Amino acid sequence: MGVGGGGLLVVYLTLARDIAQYDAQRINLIFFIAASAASLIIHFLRRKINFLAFLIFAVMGSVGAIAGSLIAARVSGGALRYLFGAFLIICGLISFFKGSKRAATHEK
Amino acid sequence: MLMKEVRTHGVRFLGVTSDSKKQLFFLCAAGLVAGLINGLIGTGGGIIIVYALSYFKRKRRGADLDTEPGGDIRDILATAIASILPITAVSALLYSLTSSSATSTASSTIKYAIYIVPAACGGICGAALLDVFNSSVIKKIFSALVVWAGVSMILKEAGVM
Repeated sequence: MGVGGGGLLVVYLTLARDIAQYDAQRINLIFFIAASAASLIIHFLRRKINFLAFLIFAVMGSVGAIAGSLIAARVSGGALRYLFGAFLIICGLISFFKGSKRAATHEK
Repeated sequence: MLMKEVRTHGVRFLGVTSDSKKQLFFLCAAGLVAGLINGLIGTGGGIIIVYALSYFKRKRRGADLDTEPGGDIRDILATAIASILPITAVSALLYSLTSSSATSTASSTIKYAIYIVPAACGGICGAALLDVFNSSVIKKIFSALVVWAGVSMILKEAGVM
């Protein structure tokens, strides 16, 4: 689905392997590059990628990533873990109830 | 040149008849937030990009904001994956540069390099199976797992777990 997998690796590294949150995020970023680059081969062949949107997100996203990474380097590991956990809960709940709402609409 | 392209193509490819400058501002803001989140917690930027692109698709389709765009969502996911790659690369570079040890990034990568091949294979399989594998039940189970994972992380940090 292109989204969601990165969170699982960080969860595994922090909960099961007891790695520091910042290091787990760093490892996850590196491996996400491998996963997304590989999947992109398929997507390039089968899908229509919106090139202008890609350019905008790549440029502005890189600016945001610089800011976010610098903040993450200065914030404590505990705070990062709370942030990460909260983000997972919000995304999980939105995804769960969005699916329920859509199913109910289709049933009508 | 970029502004001309947005005016010419913006309404067409995004499908909304409002001012293309607002669309450009919205996409720039979404990109900035996606990058910020990706840099802060190491993941999650793709979700923001998918929501941002889906918003315009839903507006075009009418008042029912929960209507699945159908085949379009796969193009949205493909654009999101393409967009998140440079963002992730920038984040990974900065994480490596700000790491406490000069060799920690290299040693961590080598230590966990065993996961690279499964990660790449998983990425290819996921992309290939996207057309086939679309069960709402599986999505619900996955969503519940994600919530559980988030709660577990917070509880562990709080010392409860």
